[in-house]
Amino acid sequence: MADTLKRSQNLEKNGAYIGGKGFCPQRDSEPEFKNIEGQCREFYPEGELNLVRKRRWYWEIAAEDLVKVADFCFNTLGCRFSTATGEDTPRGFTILYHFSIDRLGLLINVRVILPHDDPQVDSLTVLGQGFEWIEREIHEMLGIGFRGLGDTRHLLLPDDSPEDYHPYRRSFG
Amino acid sequence: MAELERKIIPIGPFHPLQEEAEYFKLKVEGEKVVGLDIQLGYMHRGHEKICEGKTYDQIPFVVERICGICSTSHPFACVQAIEDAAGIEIPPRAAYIRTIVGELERIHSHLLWAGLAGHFLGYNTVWMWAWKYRESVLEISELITGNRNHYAMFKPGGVRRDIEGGMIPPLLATLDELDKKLTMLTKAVLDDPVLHKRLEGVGVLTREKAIEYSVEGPTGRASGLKIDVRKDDPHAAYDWVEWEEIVCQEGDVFAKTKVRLLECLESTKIIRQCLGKLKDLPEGEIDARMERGPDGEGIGRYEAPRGEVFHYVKGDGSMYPVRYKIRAPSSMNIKSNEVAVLGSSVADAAITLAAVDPCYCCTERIAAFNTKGKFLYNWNDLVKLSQEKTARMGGGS
Repeated sequence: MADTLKRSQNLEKNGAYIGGKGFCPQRDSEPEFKNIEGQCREFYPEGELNLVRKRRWYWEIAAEDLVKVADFCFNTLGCRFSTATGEDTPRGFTILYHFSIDRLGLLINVRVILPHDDPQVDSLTVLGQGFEWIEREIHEMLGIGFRGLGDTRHLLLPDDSPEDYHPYRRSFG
Repeated sequence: MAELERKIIPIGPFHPLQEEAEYFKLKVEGEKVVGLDIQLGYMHRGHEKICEGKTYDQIPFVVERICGICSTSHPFACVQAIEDAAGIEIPPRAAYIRTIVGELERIHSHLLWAGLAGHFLGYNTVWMWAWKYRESVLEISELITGNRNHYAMFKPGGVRRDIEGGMIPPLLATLDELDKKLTMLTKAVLDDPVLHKRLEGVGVLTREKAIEYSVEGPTGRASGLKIDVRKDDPHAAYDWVEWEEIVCQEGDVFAKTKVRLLECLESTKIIRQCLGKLKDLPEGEIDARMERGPDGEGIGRYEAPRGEVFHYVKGDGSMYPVRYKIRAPSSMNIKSNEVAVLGSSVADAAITLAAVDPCYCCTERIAAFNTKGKFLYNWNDLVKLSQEKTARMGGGS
């Protein structure tokens, strides 16, 4: 053990890069938040952007513009795709795509609403592989079609569960 | 040279490495891995749907049962989602206690991984050391929460148990001991020439692929992504204590090991500062009252040992949520194995698939057959191959 300790006097010699000390200076910077807000409104003025809380924004957009807006979030703003939430509501099926700007701790939640009778939306797997599993999950749980999603095998449900069985669907009377 | 026959090594459906049973189809040509197909769903329990039938007080207990190792991460994200939706501020003492419990969990989870990784490589000394030191962490957890795991500490608005003043000196003494052991283990592992040779350049996930697959936690930080919810999205007491985010650039298994071990040392730093702050705060102020169910949407995020845990809740003013969404970090990280394992040898597959730290399970059942049905490998053979490779490099124990 003495040898081991002798061999390593300094962990950084092993190439460890210790991330910046203290806190990210940009994280609480108001101009940064204003800047992102401005870019969003300019890029897609038709959307309804609600700054519900400082780090939780909800952005309702038209379903046909999803790829355009998601591309803007993922590639232009440099967001990380966190996940997506599908829900059956009286207004239709909603999908909430959660994009995270990690340097600000900001979540931009992009919402699309799809009609009950023919729920179809473009797949975001064109942007990256990280979108595939959650689309497969929403596809099987809610029966929403993703145009361009290559692999539509069941992810969570058993392989032999019926094609028209969607457990997260609700009935509204 | 004759073209190599492509074979499939099925790992699963009860995967030896994951707590959730999973099925990896490893496609190999000779010794080289050329493809991977991942199948999930064997352990789907419908937690999201279960939560819709529970009150906000019950949900933290339900989500605590999702995972046996990072059992406090889900309630942590859950209570934050509910508080976000309901607009509740928690008392500072509760924030410090939450942070302490969360960090204790991180240490024991990382040590568990380090031990298993050592075992897969044939370094059983690392395995035994890491798990021996992990034991003292579990004992601290028991002292604070009454349980070694599944702490049941969290509730919307605060925590359920206080850390009384008398507990703090023995806790600090145990932490000092733990710190010495962790430093020794970290240095021993990071300085080992055989581990360097065995793990460097193995299972590399490049920065570009890490972004494309949206990986997170130590898997992302080992690939140069500076992401950590504790720093980025301030919550609990992470904003009020000094600590550092560990980021490496290489993306290989060695970098992932480095990130996890160094993070353990940061965690003890955080716990020590939190315990110090508790002395200045009045005892007993550990929860805020939630008058009624939230009406609206809320999102809670927490940096679990494996990455960001994400909980989304939508309420209608009643005590039951309308929609509850849960996303664990492994569901983003495991998919990145598709690229990390490509091109590696079969002997490296065991450690590469384990490197994202999916939840482990002790059930082992794999078998490889060639096209004529002849038996080739089982899981033990794969671990043995991996251990033999380490031994050939002059290491192992």
